[in-house]
Amino acid sequence: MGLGLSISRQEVKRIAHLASLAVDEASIAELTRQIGDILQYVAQLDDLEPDNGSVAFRPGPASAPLRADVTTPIRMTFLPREMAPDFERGLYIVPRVGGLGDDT
Amino acid sequence: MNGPLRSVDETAALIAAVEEKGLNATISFDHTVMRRQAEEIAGRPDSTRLNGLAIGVKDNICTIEYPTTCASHILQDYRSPYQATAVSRLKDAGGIVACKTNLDEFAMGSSTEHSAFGRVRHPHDPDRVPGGSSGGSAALVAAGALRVALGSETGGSVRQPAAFCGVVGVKPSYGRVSRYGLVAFGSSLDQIGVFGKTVADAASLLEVISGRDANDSTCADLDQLDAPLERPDLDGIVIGLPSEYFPDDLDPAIRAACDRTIAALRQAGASVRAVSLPHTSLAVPCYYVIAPAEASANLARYDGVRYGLRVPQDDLHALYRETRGSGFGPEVRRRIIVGTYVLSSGYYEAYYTKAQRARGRIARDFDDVYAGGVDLLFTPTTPTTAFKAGERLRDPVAMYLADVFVCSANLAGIPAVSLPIGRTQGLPIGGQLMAPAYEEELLLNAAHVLEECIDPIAEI
Repeated sequence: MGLGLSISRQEVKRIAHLASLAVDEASIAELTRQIGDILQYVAQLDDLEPDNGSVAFRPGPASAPLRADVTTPIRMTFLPREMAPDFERGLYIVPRVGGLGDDT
Repeated sequence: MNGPLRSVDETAALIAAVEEKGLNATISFDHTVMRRQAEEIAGRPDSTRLNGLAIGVKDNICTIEYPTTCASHILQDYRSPYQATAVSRLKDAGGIVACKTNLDEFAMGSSTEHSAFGRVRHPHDPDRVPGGSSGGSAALVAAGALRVALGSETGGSVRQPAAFCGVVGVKPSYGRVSRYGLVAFGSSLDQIGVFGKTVADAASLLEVISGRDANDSTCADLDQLDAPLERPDLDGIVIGLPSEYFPDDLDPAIRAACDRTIAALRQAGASVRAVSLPHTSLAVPCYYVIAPAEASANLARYDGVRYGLRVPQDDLHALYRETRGSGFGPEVRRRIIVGTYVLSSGYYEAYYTKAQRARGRIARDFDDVYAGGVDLLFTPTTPTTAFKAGERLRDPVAMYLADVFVCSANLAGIPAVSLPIGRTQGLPIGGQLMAPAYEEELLLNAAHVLEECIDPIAEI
């Protein structure tokens, strides 16, 4: 597939929904233009000549050292309950999942 | 009064003075917190290396002393329960976390205008930007409030503001410094970097924070960097000048500053030759696929459940959407959407796979040049000097092009340094040296020799 396809307002809304990101209606037009500009710009990647057998590049050490498969305590100055917006008896409290039809 | 206490008192006064003038380079800064740290290290025998040196820490690096906000509304009051390995190491060596510095939200930006805490002013011209995303750290060092500061790089976010502000900025090799406690943006690109007034200052700080770390499996299995700046000249060093970094339309003042620097490199004993990095033009497009893709995954954790902002809703999915929609600023939202798009079904091969291949070619270009006998590369750091605030805010692609000469080093995982090489109309110009992976000792020595040969504030 070639790059540089334009993106529609509906597609931006669909992707924002996939990313669990509320986007207000008033900003959709400008956001769509900006995302379109970015996608047009990165379409230069189509200029890359075909390459047989190249592998994706990964920086850093050639192999990651493995640790012993044991859990060790992480030194924390305070506990998760002190960071959480809502926390009771060792559990994070969230609202129930409703309106599944809206999300699928 | 002991040395560290006197040092923090002086530094606190300097930071307060520049902030009073409206630099807006700090997010958290507390003289009492600084003094407490100074009292803790006073008389400690292992604290002599940095001996109370006050250090600015970019606010996407976790600290115990101050909140870690990433300049985002979604983490506005967040306090990390642990500290970054780099921070532990600088404190162990007698350093003091002076303040948390302002940045583009989650390190996404090139101007430090995308901060929930307001934009950072350029230290020499308040109408201009200091560069980004580590603009607060760069501005504080340039303003003389700090000798050194930590920043982070994903696509040039230390070197570009260093060039705009007229200070030294070092991006180490990927894996040289532990990423443990650096809030993740693009995990295959992120690296903690350092700012200094001089190459020696920056090198000292880099030595302290480097080395293997069991908490980061992508950290190289290497001892702490030992890079004494002992080289007196550049005899025997071959410097490559990649033609792609010197286009015909390069700003004439920047070209003139580079020409003067190239003459200085020759005078210091280096031989200089033209080289080519043929896939350079693909670096920014490649970066703006890979970095948003990784960001969209890394930032999925900010959902209003375990920490940070929560916008209460009756439904869990609505809670996610409203929290993230309200908590993230416009540039972060844009990148999450681009990243989600390029990873989504039907587009993954077209964008992400191509970008990964381009990244491989860019890295191979560097390998080929170094294998051909070149020790270091010299280029301008940025295509322009610091631009006016607001000038590129509504045009993301124009903003991204500020990183055109810096993001290749992140894609290839190699070390690079920017140092001031002159000024035009009072604004600093940066020159960049790049080295093969893990050749920081050569890189820093060459930068140190060059620093001795040029007047960094001479008008071009």
